[in-house]
Amino acid sequence: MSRRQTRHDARRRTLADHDADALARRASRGDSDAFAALCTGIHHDIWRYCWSLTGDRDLADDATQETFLRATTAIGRFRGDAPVRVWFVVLARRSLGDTLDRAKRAPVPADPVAIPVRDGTGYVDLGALITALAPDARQAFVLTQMLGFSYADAAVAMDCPVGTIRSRVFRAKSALVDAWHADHHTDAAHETNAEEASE
Amino acid sequence: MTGDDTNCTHAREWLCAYRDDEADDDALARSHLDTCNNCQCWSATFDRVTRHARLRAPMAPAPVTATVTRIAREAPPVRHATFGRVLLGIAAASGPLVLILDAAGVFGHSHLGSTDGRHADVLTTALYGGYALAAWRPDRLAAGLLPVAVLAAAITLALSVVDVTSGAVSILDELSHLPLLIGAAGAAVATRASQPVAAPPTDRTTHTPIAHSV
Ligand SMILES: [Zn+2]
Repeated sequence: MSRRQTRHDARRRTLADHDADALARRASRGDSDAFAALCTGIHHDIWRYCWSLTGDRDLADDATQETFLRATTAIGRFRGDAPVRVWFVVLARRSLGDTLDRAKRAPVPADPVAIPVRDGTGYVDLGALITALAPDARQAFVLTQMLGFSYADAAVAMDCPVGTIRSRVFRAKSALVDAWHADHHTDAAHETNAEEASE
Repeated sequence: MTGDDTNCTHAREWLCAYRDDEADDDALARSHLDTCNNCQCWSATFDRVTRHARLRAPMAPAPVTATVTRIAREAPPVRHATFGRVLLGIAAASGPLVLILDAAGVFGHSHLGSTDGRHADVLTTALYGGYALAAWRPDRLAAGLLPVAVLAAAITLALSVVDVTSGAVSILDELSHLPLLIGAAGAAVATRASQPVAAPPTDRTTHTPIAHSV
């Protein structure tokens, strides 16, 4: 699998960047059809990002809704300086921050997202492994791997240098590899214990 | 940290960025990966995790999709903000010009000689500053400015009508108040365009309000 192909996979269900940006420019001039197409086209990405911010399904649902509500008035200010996907992610981060400020609490995952992955003889819950990452590493991982952001776009979205994104993505992937191995060792230990018990 | 550890970390960092199209080829890192068993095992799991993360990225639940679709359909993007901003901008730019002309006596008597007149000019100038700020960020500031702008325009208009009908001043003199009327209209249009949209109810049957979900 080529590197470009894997990057493309992350976006296979969503709008291409240049299409999304063209729709956003039309929407900023009041074109409601373009706005509707844009919202439909990128809302999975925004939901994924909101999930990466909170690790919680319900919070992601609320934050996504709040983001698109705000976008109806904020899209008039979109000037195309950055891709609209980055613009939306920044809007989502602010929406969630304001919502949590109003609720006076930090995000505490109550309804985690499960991503069961069959591996060898057992299953690994990739969603739980991602949720367990440090928040900054989790966001960088989701932005670059699941939304297909370049490190430069992720840096704009997270308001930090590109080098910081690079190290956060590496930390995230290293932690996921370690957790994946640990999960398997745990599974293997369980299986061994179960076999011993049955003998 | 041993030399091996350093080489492993360097090679893995490079592989991570390289797989994301964010690093050029690195012969040293590549040759380490070709010969280090630990890194080969690590990179196999790394590729598996990354591939699954990309292919199995979670989708927004159907109720969220329905809600977003409804928001996009029922709350179309702001159309009139530009018109409101133009009106506010005209008011903000023409106001100080009118004050200067007024001071020069173009609209009847100059206020510069009286303390009360100068105080009134200071307040009016502050209002023109408010128009400029609201033209800059109508979504945040126009609504706050609206009551003051409308009251100022209404009171000024009422006094002008009284003055003109009593023959105290001519209609031409009262043109100096035009920026206040334009500013109030601009604030009203911009506020209407920037109205917060009521959240449509979600379809989710088990919806948990954000303030109570813990
Ligand atoms: Zn190694």
